[in-house]
Amino acid sequence: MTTQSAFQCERLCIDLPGAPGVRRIIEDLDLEVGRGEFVSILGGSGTGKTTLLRTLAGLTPYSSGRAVYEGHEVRSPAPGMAMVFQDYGHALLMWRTVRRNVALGVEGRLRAAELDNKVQNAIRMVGLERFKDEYPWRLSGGMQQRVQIARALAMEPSALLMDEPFGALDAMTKASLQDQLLAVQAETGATVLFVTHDIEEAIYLSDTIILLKGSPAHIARRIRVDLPRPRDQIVTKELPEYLQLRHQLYEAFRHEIHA
Amino acid sequence: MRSMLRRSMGVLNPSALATALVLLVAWEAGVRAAATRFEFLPAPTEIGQALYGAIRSGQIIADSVHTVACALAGWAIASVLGAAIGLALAFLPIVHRFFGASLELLRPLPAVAFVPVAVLLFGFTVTTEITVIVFASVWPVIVNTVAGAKAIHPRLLDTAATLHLSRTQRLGKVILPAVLPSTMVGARVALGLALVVAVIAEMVGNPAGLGWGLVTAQEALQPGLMFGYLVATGALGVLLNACLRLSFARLFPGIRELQQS
Amino acid sequence: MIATDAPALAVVGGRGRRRVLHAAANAWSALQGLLPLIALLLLWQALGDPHSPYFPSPSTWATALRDRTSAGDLVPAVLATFQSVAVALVLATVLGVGIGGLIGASPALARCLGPTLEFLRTLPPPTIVPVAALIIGVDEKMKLFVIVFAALWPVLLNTTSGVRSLHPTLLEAARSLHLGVVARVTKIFLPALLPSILTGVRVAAPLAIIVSLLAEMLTLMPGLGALLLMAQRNFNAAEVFGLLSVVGAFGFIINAALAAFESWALMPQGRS
Repeated sequence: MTTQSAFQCERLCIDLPGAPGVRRIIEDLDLEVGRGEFVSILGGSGTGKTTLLRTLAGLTPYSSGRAVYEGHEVRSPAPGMAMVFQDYGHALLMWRTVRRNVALGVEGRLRAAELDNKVQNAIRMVGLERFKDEYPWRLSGGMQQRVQIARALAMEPSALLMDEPFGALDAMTKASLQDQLLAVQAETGATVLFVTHDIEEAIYLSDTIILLKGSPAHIARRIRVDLPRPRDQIVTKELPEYLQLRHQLYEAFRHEIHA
Repeated sequence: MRSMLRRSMGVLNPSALATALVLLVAWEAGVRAAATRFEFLPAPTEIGQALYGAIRSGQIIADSVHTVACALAGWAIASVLGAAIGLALAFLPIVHRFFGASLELLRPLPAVAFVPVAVLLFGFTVTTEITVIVFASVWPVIVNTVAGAKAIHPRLLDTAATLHLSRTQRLGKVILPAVLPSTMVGARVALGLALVVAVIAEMVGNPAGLGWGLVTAQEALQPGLMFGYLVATGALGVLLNACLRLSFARLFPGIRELQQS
Repeated sequence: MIATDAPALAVVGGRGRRRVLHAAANAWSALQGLLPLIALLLLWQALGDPHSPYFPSPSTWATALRDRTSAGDLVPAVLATFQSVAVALVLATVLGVGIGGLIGASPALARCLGPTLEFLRTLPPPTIVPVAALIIGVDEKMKLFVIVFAALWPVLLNTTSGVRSLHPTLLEAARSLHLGVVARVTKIFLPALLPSILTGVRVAAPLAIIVSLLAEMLTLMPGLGALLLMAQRNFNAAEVFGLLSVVGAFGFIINAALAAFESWALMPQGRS
């Protein structure tokens, strides 16, 4: 096992209970994610992207094969890993202020001053300083999602698992959060696994894009994204390489639709 | 807050005031002209005078204090007990399996029917009154607590798992606070019930407070005073509910359910 | 033919057996739930003193009830209470649906009557009992009045909110089909409002029972409430406990019957 990889999957199979018995969601999947790498898992709805991410997060058990994080088999949420869910409305504790939501994963393990420091820092990284004593239900969707990201960041994770985190947000908010996420990753050097069904988002953010297809799903393609960093919503998206990747991925999806 | 404001605006709209005024005047005129066939029906002015007199003499105030004190005591016991039973039913399968049906069987037992039993056991005392109040007002707390526990979104438990919370932390920081709003909604329903049941228990069980005052006024053939008691009881109910709503909203600024209703 | 039929039969048999097993499992789990109550009663019977002035053993309850029945009191009392509750519930439903429907349909009426009704609603129904006894006099009419006053509000409020939440398309459909007023009410409004109305009735039923019992206790008009109060005044503990179980069963059966009626009536709407 190389020391360079954060995640490794070998012949991973995942089954979920369905209406007529169990249904195989993922079959014989091999995957390797390097430390500090930004990997997007791309696929149409129902291809098992979320299931794969939940398995890597230790929330959904797998049936056979291996899923390894930092040399240990994933059986439950591993230390060093943090997850951001798509439905922020259900993942935040609505009765806690922003600051206390962010503190949830780290409080009780640190001294007060240290805790405060960590929480403040996480809140700063997502730009929510002005709202730290507000309740989440008083904030907009985009800000609530920032709270969730800050909560994950406060744990200083070496891997950040994100399940369509910007899927429910409007285009403007989405763009600004994408840039914030890139900045945060540059600052922390965390490995990011990012599930999305948005092709342009995947290209804009990632070092590598994994294309899931089929039922049960397998990796149809693995695409390297060598666009220069730091990326920019205008400049990057006008680069010929960007346009070419975009073309290539839309083409791949078109084949899937016609298949 | 906003809904209270809207409601008072509703009372103040001219057509509503006019309707209420017309009804009151018709009532007054009907009684004065002896046009109704009810010889004991008091005119609104008579009710007002009797109520004012009873407030001046302190009689109705003392009665209200007794009733409210009993209702609050019973309500507090019922809230704590109901929350405990509800949580046990929701999270301990054994408790649910062995006590669920028994509780379902006890629930439709009308609280009034419980008064004679309580009187037999405790005599015509405050204990009787509070026992009956607890029995009647514990149900909404139980039902709402169980419903709240069942409605916890699985994503919250996922969150607790990915944040590596221990079992106790998960219970104390996630599950209990998530159930609390439903429990408090139940407690609010329970307070209204507690007041009404206190009055019922006073009418047939414990000779004190507003309920007893009402029955005494009836037996002494003082219809004005009787209606005064009726209005006072209704007003107290509204007042208690408003107080509870405001203090809940104050005490728990983070709970959306308590801020909006 | 035989070959193709066999698996189908097997499936039907399997499903039937599964249903029987399912029912048995349900009965067993209900029985488990009742175990503490049964155990309590058995213990009470075994260890209790049958002559205790406070906690007479359950067998004496049955004896007391049998005596009441042979004295010709119990059955008429149950019927009297049932009749008041049933008639009052029907009246309250008719009134509640009528008034609630009008208020829900007409904003002007809602503005005029809303606050007055809101005030009346704050008066706790049980406190109306002595008032009505004095003003109307102690008779069947007064009993009906107080029960209707208690049971009216849930039906009225549910109907009003039901009318307000009717989808505009439904009203437009009614209009575009050129239905008359009667047809609109019977074919569109009432079926669409049925779930709200029935919910209101189910909330109203326990209130009706409570107020009926209270009226009987306070005025000693014939009924279960009067029997209970007399038994208490005579310090006949066995009879009090016996009557309490009768009242419990009475409430349980009425609630269960209403729930069954609701799911039967809503079956065509697929909402039960």
